[in-house]
Amino acid sequence: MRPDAPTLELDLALINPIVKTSRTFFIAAAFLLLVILWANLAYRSQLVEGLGVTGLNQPVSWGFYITNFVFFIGISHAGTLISAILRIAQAEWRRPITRMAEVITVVVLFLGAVNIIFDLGRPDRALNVIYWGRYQSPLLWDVTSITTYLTASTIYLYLPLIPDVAILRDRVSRFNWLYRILALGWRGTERQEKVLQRAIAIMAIVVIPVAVSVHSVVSFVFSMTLQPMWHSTIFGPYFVVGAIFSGIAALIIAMVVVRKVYHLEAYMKPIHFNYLSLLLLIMSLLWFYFTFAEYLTGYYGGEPEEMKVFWAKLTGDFAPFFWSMVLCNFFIPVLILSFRRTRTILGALLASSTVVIGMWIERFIIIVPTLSHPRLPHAAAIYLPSLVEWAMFAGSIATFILLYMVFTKLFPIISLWEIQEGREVGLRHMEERVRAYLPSTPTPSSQV
Amino acid sequence: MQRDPRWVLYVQNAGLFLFTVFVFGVIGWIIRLIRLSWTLDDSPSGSIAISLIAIPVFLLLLGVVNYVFWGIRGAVEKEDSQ
Repeated sequence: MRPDAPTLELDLALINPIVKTSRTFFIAAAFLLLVILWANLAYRSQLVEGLGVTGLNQPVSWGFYITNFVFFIGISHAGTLISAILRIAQAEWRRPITRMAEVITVVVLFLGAVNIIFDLGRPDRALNVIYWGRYQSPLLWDVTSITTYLTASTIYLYLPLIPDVAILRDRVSRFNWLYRILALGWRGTERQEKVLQRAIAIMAIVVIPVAVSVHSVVSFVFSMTLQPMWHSTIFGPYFVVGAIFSGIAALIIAMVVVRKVYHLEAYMKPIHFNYLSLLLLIMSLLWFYFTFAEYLTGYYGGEPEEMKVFWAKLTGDFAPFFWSMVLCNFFIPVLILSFRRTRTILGALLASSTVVIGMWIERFIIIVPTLSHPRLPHAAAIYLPSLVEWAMFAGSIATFILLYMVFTKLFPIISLWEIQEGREVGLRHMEERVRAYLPSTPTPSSQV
Repeated sequence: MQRDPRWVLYVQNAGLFLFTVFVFGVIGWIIRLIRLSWTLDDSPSGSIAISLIAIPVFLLLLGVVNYVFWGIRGAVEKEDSQ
């Protein structure tokens, strides 16, 4: 697990981003900090003046913040879940991808949780959950499952980082104190390797049900109510499918950017994008199937309150959002990714970008149209986000990018030891596995 | 191989201690909510059902962290003592 010096030289490109920082990095970081500052000023005005500075009102009391919350929690499925599944399936092509995915999870989960605090208006109200929470409420299931997922994902990110941190401890002087603490005295002995491999395997199994539970529980916040177009039994799996879908898309975008910026073309090859694109294509079809089933069932029931929301989405005020969502999540990715000629890195980037936009719109039109057409005798209302909400949205995205950039400056964004392990034992293991799948070669005597 | 200075071991121990406090804090919080629902007769069975899943998961996470922490650190101390 511990790369020898000569073999490590092969992968110095993975340490380069840590030891060398270009001016472009600082310019990008400064720009992102400006956006975050803008979001901070917006939040300050919300703290001082209250939620009145947002577009939220009655009956639409959930808007951008809750949309962002569901969206970010969805993106978080990029990492831990995909990484864990690929690890358990022993997919050899996972090696340059897993860490990039795991970092996305931890960062966006944090941002998802923060958006809930924004939506509370007064952040001190979060303490009510601690003091007076009721487990009958799906909101509290959310708090519990997201806390569990964030904890599990952080551990799952940290464990495979230990051998790489030890390499940095021995080779990099900047932040050496940090690497020394995090490395836990790693020397790559047989005993240490055994401990770490076993712990990673346990965590890979644990995080899958936890991840699935998180987005199911997020969907329960809506489906456990009797609101039109929310009260649906398939919301749990529908949300999980959407989450994995948007997660893969976000991962592809991150891969393209990291590959380009840090010149890691040798590690992230077209074949990696091809495999992820095929996964994205499958998820796009699955997403369409769930959407179709959800809307067809609602339409066939013909329940009057349900139909108001249904038609508002398909032909009414929300139709531009609905059809943009279908275009972005289904038609564009399927058209690009179905053909080998267009299933290139650029094609994957284009499809993923539309999917990320489409999935954000999907979260928006799940939440807002239902609230705009309440059962109570309120007039139907339209929700328009204010500049404060736009600023907070931009700030959330900027925080995500900045934290991701900072991570790449502190730790290898591609797992060094896993690449080395792939070179040293992966090939042999794969050959053994393929041999195990095939019928054993008959001996001359058994042929008779 | 050079041994880590003593302050590094202290910080690592403090990290593990904080994580342990966090896990027991979450478990304590869940138990408190069960007690509250029990006292108010506010369907405590629901709270118990969720705690039956959440508490073991947190204990498992604590177990994994401890296993890695003492497994890796223990191997170093064993090697040094030899």
